[in-house]
Amino acid sequence: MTTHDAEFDIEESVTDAIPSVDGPVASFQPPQRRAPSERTQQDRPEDLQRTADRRAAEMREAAARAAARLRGTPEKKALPAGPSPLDVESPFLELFDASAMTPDGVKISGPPPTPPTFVEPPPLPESGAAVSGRPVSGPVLPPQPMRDLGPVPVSGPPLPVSSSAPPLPRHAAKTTVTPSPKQQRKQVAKQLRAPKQPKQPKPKKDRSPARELEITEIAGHLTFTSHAVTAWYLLPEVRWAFRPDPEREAMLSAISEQYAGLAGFRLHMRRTTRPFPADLWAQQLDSLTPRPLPTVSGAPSWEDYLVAAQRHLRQVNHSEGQTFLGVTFARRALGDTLSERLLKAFGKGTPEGERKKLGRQVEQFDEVLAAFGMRGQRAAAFELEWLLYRSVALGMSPPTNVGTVAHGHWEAGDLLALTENIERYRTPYGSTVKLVNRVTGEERHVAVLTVGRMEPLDIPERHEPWLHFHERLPWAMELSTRVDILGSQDSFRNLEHRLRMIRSQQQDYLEHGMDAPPELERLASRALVMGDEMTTGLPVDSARAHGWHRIAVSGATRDECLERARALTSAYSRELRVALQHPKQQDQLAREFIPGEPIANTGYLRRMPVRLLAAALPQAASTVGDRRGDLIGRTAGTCRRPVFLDPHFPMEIRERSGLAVMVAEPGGGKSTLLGAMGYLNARRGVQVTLLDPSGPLARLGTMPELRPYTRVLNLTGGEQGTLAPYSLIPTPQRSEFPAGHAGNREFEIAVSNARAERRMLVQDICSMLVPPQVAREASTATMLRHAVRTVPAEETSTLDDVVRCLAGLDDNGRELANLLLDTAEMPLALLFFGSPPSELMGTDAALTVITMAGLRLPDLKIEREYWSAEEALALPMLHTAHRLAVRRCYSGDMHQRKLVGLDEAHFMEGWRSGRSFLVRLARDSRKWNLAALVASQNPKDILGLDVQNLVSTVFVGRIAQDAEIASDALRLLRVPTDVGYEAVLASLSAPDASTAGRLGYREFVLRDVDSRVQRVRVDVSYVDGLLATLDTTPTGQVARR
Amino acid sequence: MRLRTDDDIYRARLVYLGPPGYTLPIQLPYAQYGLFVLLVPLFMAVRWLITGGQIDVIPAWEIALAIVTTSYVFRHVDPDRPARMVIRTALTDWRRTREPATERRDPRLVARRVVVRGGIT
Repeated sequence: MTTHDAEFDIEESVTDAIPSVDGPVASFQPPQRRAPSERTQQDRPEDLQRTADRRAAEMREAAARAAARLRGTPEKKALPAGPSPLDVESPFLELFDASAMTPDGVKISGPPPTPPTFVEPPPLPESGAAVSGRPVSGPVLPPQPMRDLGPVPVSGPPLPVSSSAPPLPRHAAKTTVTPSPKQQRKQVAKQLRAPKQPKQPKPKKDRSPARELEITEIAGHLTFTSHAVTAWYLLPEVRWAFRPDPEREAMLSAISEQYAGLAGFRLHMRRTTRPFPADLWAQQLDSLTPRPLPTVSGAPSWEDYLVAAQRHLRQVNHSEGQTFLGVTFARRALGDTLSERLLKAFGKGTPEGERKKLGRQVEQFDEVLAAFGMRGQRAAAFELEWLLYRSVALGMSPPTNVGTVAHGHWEAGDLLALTENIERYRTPYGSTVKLVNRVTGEERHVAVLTVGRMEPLDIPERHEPWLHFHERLPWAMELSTRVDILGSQDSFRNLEHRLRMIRSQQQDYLEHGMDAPPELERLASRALVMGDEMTTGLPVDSARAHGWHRIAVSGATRDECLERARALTSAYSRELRVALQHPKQQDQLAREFIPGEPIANTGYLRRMPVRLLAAALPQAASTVGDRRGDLIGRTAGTCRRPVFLDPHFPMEIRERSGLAVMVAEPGGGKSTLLGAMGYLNARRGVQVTLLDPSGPLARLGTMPELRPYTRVLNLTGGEQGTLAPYSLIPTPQRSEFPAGHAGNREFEIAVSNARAERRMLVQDICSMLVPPQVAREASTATMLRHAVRTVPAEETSTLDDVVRCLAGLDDNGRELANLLLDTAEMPLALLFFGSPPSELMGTDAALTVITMAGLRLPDLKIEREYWSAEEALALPMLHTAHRLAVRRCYSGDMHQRKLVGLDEAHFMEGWRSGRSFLVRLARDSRKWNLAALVASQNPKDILGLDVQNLVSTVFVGRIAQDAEIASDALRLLRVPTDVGYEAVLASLSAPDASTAGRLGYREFVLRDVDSRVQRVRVDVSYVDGLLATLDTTPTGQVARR
Repeated sequence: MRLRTDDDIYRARLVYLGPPGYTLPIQLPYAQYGLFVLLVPLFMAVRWLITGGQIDVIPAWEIALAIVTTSYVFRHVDPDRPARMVIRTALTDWRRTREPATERRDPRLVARRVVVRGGIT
């Protein structure tokens, strides 16, 4: 349990939203959907294929039309007359032939229009082959105005070709190299002559001084410099938050053993960041949503929603980190270097023989690093290129469309060519290094801090990993660590001299009769212990890591950069008591980040045992959630990552049940989360049913984009028989089970289970309807059981049959029947008697909200005798309303996605039928593709073993009052209790006492289907009007009126 | 786990207390004595070069200069910036000890001639 779990925000002045998005952004604009009138009513899953084919054909037509437009020729009338079938608004369509299989098969008839993405420099002539005297592409572009902090540039409708400067994307230029460059140039020149065209200067040959990097070759995961060879590995991220301390210690021990196994080598550990590919996510979400809710005029459409989500993601500026570990293991012999130089003249690199020999040597590292602990994998060549580029352009915004909406393909070496454009300057007083990207005009100041004096750390008990701690600040930083790992012999030799001198100094003081300073005493005893450890202990205890640890902080201006450096330094000194120094020679320090470059010889050499180096753990991370669902917020722990949640992910991909449980006290944000999930999934075309007895979710129907598709069922004004218990349990159909003998057996079992459940439910409902004193008598139970046994347990039976049966029994039975009929006098109780109205089920509404407006829910802590009549009725109403909500999902297509949100499920506690309901829900969720979100104030019922294993996702909101509920909730999260996490639960959604405004978000601790636990902040502010609609406080309601 | 660096050990201040039986009034670290002993002949050699072959029997000036230089160097030395660093900085940066007040351009670092291969062989 560490400090970071309890407090997470450094200071209020550090804001979340980074207004400047550096660099042009790639964005995904989904193609517009067809109008609803053109869709058939009976859309079934087989239609997906047809829809996809149709859309591909439409894209092809649009591309053909766009190409024709570019050519300036009149369109061929290949399309039927009538309204244009599709006005596709995707800028990427016009970039390439939609039917091409690979980028090389792309036929471009004319220069494509500008994609509003990262603008690339004119492609360099290939090494050894120049196509023409000038670069093939057209004019060099003026630096785009990157510094506007206005609305984030997001790709909108396709830009008309003639009014923008068309730099050719690199891949396009590559593919057009083989057709005629002359024709290319002519067309480009023609475009230049188009009106409203600023004059573009010709690309000048760059004569500013340039120095080559030390790296000469990247071969697979090896990099070669003139002196040494380094093998690079990618370290995957490990979970750190909310893990029990013994697990953390085990992981750190494993990592330190791996380091000890690398004794004798020099390591370079780099941590760099990658921007979150919001457009890839949007594209995936769009492809997973075959039928979003049709657009309502005047309301934001599906496309607008996706664009708003991407914009929100950009604003919060998440970035994911990547950790690389390079092991320098070989010195190169003179012969190798010379032969490499010779071969370079012929365009080849290092000789094959050398590389084969190294390949064998490097396998030992694979074994050591792939073990539990670091689990390092060999880095691929393009990843190393990425690392190299990011190290040269330290802190700058990366090219955003590498690996994003992939319509091109970067060849080996492309990324490195971009390093040509990074200019470096030394700023006044040498405090930062200024990097300017000549092509985009971006300017960035970088300050490199180095780790100075470190006080003892308690990891994992009190402190966080000391190279992971910086991630709590909202801006991205880069790390570079260069250490030598010394084995036991070397480190002992290193230390022995010092240890002996300390002992002799102590002796000296003794001889002179003076008191030795206490520090010396301490060091002397420590020296004894260390000496002993190192000579007789395990290698992992005696291995040492001597090296330098640097953190690079960047900012758009020098002041911002220094301000950030100061914030980082104060954070480190306050929490971890690690001093960060800002030395001189920043340019050399910035060079040290680049793999292969020499070490900047400033001081601040840190010598530490490998355990402390392992405890640095830069690869600790905190992602949670799947990556393919809707954006519901971000993590609120150390780093900030977006959190996506798709309620159907556990069933469809992980093959677990779809039961998600939410536990929070009143005011903890359950309604907000339920409403947000309901809205987001309804938008995606999932059939959503929400049960919200006392909350605001009925107001979701007032949102313009949902209004025509919402149905609100108010039970307090319902018809007789709406909640008839027998009909609430569906009868299984034979078609739901596989054919054959086994299927027959399953079908029979399911039918008898349904009957048993009906009997249980009716018994419980009747017990709830009669006064509690009567219900407690043994004879009541017997009679009810008899009646329930007699009445056939089919869907068509009603409570009236039960009453009739009871009346026919004997005097006691008649009394019981009369009691039941007494309750039937209350209008609300009529909901239980009679048959359900026919049109109750089977509506086509995308969103159904079941409410019980005006109903007072009883307090479970008070005895049932003291409940009022209305409160007493609320209990069976809730039980049956939960089943009604789920019942709706059993009619209709088994494979269609459905979502059920149930609030106030804690009323089921203590009733047999309640627990069986949850079990059935969990078991059926996979079969019926039904995701269930069950909110409760008390998790006790869910902790029963049979249900707990079926729960895939857990949300825990603020629990500040009841310690028992808090520990139950922690057990649900599978997080150790009594180590201090209860304080974390109490501090969720903590409002700032100094401000008078309301908290705009709600926080939960989320455990996702992959057992990752993290604190998240639910933030759906990117959907207009959703938060205002879900606002439950009086002020919000007044404002709405 | 309580984790600490080894730097404490390297940071220990090892002073020369004096010969056995007599405690010096001023206790200086061994390193300063070492530097002093290196500097005196150095300054004598410098004087010999400048004045063309003249040395004193008791090099008072050289000793005084060496004392001053040693104390100046060690004023800037701390455990993180060892004496070697400080001397090197003093010797190489004497022309550029103060960073200029204007921006200066550095050569670009380019990766022009890096050969990239997909696999090792």
